[in-house]
Amino acid sequence: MLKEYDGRVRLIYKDFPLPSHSLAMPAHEAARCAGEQGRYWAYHDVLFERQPRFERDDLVGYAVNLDLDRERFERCLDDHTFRAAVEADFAEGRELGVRSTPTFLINGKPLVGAHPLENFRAAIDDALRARR
Amino acid sequence: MVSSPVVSLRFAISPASRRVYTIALGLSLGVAAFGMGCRAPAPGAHDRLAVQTQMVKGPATAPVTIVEFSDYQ
Repeated sequence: MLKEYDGRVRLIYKDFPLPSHSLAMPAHEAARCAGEQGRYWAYHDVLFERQPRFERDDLVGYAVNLDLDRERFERCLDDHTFRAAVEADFAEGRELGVRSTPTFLINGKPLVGAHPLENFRAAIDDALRARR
Repeated sequence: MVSSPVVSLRFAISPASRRVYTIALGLSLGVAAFGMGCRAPAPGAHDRLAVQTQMVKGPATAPVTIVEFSDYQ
């Protein structure tokens, strides 16, 4: 989708680990720990492929598979280096009215839930027209 | 005299049923209130979000910004 709208769309990913998902928070923290080593999106993709296998050993294993520095990654996880940042994202989402995932804001207009690509195209095209 | 349908209905409902309807009405209002919480954000609100550069794809100059709030689990 981003390739299709090359240069015209920017995607900002925000953490919104639902409290009912006990393994979500460590997974979100782990993604940021991978990001600290420059592999945020690669790790992000692995998490979606492997969900919901997010026990600590799983998270470390994914990092090792991506050739991340294991010791640094484990320290990041164990110190909860990014816990506050993840919680801040969640708080921002709540403030904006987000109640479920995924929720997309397309130039501020909410699109809630999983939708076919056509719906995203329509919303993006609307947003592009509105900017002209 | 023809009574109004509303009045007739009120007398047709047993106390037990009224309790059920009251609970149902309360739940409906609760759901509606929750739905109102899922409001559209104020215009430009997404521009004020804290952005972690490593969690962004696409140029900052793009005319369309998609903010995705998501949960890995």
